[in-house]
Amino acid sequence: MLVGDATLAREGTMTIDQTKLTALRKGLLEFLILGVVSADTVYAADILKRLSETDFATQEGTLYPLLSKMRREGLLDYEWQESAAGPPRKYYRLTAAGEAQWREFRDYWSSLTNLIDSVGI
Amino acid sequence: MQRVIDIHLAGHPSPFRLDEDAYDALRTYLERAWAGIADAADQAEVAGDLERSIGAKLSERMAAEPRILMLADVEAVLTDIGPVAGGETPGREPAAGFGPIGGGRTRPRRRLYRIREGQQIAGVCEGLAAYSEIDVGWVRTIFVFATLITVGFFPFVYLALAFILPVVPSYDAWLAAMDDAT
Repeated sequence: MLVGDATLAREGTMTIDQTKLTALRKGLLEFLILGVVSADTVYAADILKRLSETDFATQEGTLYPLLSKMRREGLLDYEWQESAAGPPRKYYRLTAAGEAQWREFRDYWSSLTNLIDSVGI
Repeated sequence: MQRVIDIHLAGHPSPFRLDEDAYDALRTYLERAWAGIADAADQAEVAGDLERSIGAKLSERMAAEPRILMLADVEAVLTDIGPVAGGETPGREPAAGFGPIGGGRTRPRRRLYRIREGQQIAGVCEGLAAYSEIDVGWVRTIFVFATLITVGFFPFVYLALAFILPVVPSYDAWLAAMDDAT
């Protein structure tokens, strides 16, 4: 499992320069958001909560621009829903293009995992 | 004497009452967020998202009784939300976030922030250390010497920086903010 292993490695004896991993995580964040939204219709706080216990924990300042960009690219869309406390919320779901990209990314990730497992042998 | 300013935030029907320092901090944050986002369509969208969230968090802090919101309230909320990462700038190389390892890559433009992670007072030295790539111990030593040499004037410089500089929770967050500022 991607997220579990990443956390485990950090708690262990990881010696990789953290700046390198920061750049890697930053690039992966968008795909993890696709994954979170693919599972359910969610609003921003759900996404933050889902990622909070992982190495991909992020803040609204990062999430909102990313969600806006992904919507502009046609990967996801939202609808407004009233909330019992506070202002109405945007509930996000994947579009057909978003679903396709999520599937494509998972396939690519599997191929990467195979490559990493075999490249050093 | 403090002036009090009423502001409206997207999605919140009733206004928020802020003292001047709190208002300035919020305005600076929102202006910086707006400027940091490359795409015009995203700017309005994200500004609305931020205002709705800031309003909800400020309401939570007021709990049951409405009161004037202070700088500490706004700072706590903005720290929770974090600096706005601007997304991709068109035409930018994907590798631009990395250090100068590859030789030809350009470093992201750096900005000075306070960094809460490892802070002794307000995180100014942590921020300067990250900015200058000098060990934080040396930065603190220089501050102490500067204080002695200037016969106690330098703590005021520190104080001024503590008020002026935006804050991020950690070194990782600072790097992320630099990445997106390019």
